[in-house]
Amino acid sequence: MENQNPVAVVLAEMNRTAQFQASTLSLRDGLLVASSASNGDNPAAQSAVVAKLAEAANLVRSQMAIGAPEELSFNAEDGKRLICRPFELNGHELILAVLVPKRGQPYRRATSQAIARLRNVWQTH
Amino acid sequence: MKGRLEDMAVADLIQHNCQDRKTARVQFKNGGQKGELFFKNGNVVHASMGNLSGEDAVYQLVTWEQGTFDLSPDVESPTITVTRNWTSLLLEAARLTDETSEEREAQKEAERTAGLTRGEDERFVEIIQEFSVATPQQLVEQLSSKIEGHRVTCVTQIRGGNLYWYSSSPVELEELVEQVNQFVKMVNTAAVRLKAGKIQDNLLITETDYLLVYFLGKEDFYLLVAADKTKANLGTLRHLARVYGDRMLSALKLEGVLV
Repeated sequence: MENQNPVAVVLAEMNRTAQFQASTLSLRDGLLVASSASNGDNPAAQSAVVAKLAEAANLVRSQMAIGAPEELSFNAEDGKRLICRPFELNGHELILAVLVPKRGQPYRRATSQAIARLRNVWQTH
Repeated sequence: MKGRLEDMAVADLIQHNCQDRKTARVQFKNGGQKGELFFKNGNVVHASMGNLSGEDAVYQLVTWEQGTFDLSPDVESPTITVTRNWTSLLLEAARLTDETSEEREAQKEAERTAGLTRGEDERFVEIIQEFSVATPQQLVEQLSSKIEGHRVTCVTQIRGGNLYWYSSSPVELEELVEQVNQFVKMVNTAAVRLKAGKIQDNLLITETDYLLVYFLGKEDFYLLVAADKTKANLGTLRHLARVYGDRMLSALKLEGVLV
């Protein structure tokens, strides 16, 4: 684990257990809160990308009068998937984003567990 | 230690006990069902639930979302039925859970395709219609009719607006397409920045809806499908978008829209 920031530890543990390539926790405006990435990935760039995606999701939502975004993802032909899961924590709007390297690799349970742990960490720190 | 599975999932209990390298027994109750897990030195060594034991019991217990648990520390297992490492056990449980839900989706789709609730003649006519040469607009309408909770289907070009569309609920299509185009451009930018390769599809899940964008071979064209999340099935939606996306590509070539 690259540092002892408890939030980063949660991300690193999630990446290790679920075999994600990288993960970030960002505020809705793109400010990076914490990240965990394998060598070669750029968490700051990923976070900026995630913020753009969240902005895009909100644009679509406002037009369709559909509910708040719960998950935003894209699948690439090489099998990689970027999953973004927005959630609220003590009035902060956050986005957990994970880069899933393989097609068909499960991610929902792992990201749900990580969000639950992030809530615990947030409350105790 | 006692608690409710609504507050702490079985997978979390496994992870905490294993990470803390505990030796313990955890008993579960969910309605009339009972199960138990034994931990020894940081691994699950035995599980039982009804007639199941070993890994099969673990995979069932992990799906319980409600009920109670009772943890007794330092209780040794009477037997060993699980030898798989706990992380691998949880990964397999997650995979099976996802597969189970995909199986349910596939079953639902199979039942719908087989037309179990309709007469054979009606189904025969439908099959003939489906496999005859269809125009892009006919395909859009066929696809829309197969999606439960359908809201909008459209084939559009990022630079040229919507080409074919069908809506089951009131929506300002032109404005929606404009917004989705922005969304698609941002996703494409994101893909480039992440070096993720060419995008196949992207999905937005909201509190109420699914919105699936499926790219039609050429980067500029895509099929957009939106459906009510409480009625639509995501697996079916993806499957139909893929099948009709391929048919749409051929139809667009026949129409001369695509070369």
